[in-house]
Amino acid sequence: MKIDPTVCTGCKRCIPYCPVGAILKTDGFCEIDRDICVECGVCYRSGACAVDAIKMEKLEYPRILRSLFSDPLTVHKLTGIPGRGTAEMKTNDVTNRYTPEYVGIAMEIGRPGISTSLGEVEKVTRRLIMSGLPIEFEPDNPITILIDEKGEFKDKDIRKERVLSAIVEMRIPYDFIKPVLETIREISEELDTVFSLDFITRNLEGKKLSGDLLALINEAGFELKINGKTCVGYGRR
Amino acid sequence: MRGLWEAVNVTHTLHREGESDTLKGDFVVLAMAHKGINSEGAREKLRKIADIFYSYNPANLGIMGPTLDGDPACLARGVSLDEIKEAIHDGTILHGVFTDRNIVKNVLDDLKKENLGISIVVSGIFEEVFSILNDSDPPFPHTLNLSLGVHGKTQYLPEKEILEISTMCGHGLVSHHLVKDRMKKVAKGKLSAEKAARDFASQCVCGIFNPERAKILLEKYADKMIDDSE
Repeated sequence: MKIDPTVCTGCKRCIPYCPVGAILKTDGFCEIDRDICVECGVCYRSGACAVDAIKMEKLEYPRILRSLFSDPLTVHKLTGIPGRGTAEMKTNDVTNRYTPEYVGIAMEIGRPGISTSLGEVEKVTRRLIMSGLPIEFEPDNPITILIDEKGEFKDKDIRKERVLSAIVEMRIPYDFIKPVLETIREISEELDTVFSLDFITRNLEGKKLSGDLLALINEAGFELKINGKTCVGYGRR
Repeated sequence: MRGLWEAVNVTHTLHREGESDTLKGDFVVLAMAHKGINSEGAREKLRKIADIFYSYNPANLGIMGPTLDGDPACLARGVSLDEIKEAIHDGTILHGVFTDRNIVKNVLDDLKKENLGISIVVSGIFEEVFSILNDSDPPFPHTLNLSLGVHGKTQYLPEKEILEISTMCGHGLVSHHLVKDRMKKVAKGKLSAEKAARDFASQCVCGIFNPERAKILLEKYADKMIDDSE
């Protein structure tokens, strides 16, 4: 994103719209700190600028990764990466990706609204692989596509790119839930950002979560929120 | 090359922060087919579902992806149902936001009757959602996505009152700074809660933000925010 200094009146109305605080006022007009900007497009779409000073630039790799991870309206045919995350459990009634024997865990790094460098994301993937636990990264997730067998980015230059959030998605055998969650607990101490933690399961007893599973989650030091997502089971092949 | 980057597909309706008093009036119903399995011909089914959602006067309705003109396709941006339906394709993710559990039950009853075979996900308080599902129709619920909270450098987060509003956009497009700024303006009587809530909703491009709950939260917290900061 860019603000045209010859057009900007310095009214500052755009400043609060930026999720990551990248818009600053200097010398009578506003400008965007390109190191912080995640190219989400919010300032451009907000309608805050009365004189159309905010411009959406044509981005090149690797900066375009910022937009691909941060702007839900970006459609891109170059990278070959099919989305920030995957359909995860939303279509599990059709895919059966998650069975009672496997749970899904996702770390949404930078969420809610804090943002992250991809370098922080790499810390997570590297650490998870180093743990030696039977973690299966979701093959269609873009972060999985961007990393190598050590959990490091194939292109080291992308570490400095910043995004609103990026998801590390994995599938775990039920018997390894506790050690994986404990590893995530350790990783949480090492990160310079936040992450939201998702847990996908079919381990239900009627309309209740399995008591054994709940105990495992609690023993690993995590608590459930009262709300979440329920795939009701109307999908079919 | 492994296909296209078609949409930022994220667990965007999870992790809505808050207490049960306002979360009990906050439901997102999501509909989608799975690419390569049951997506062929899904467009017409999803358009039918959009009609069902719309018939129950949703607080918001939208899709992940732009209109044919390239704008965000959701009611909160002032886009019409017809424009949203035109933009729907076989791979679209469709959302409707509702504020009443009985309405959600009616929506699910209609969807069940139509028997379209499209996956449906309901976000909300589990106890409320489970109470809606019909006991006689196992295997409901099929799969859950639980929120285990926010971790890491949580000192970077704003106040919980801000998060209760901003997390209704799971993509993070409703800025914490904007919410705080508008909350202060509402407290000072310079802006109505309804107008501020509409502005928040229009930043969320896929139509999952609930402006009615945001209005309630603004009215609930505005005075507290002014006390805390000034």
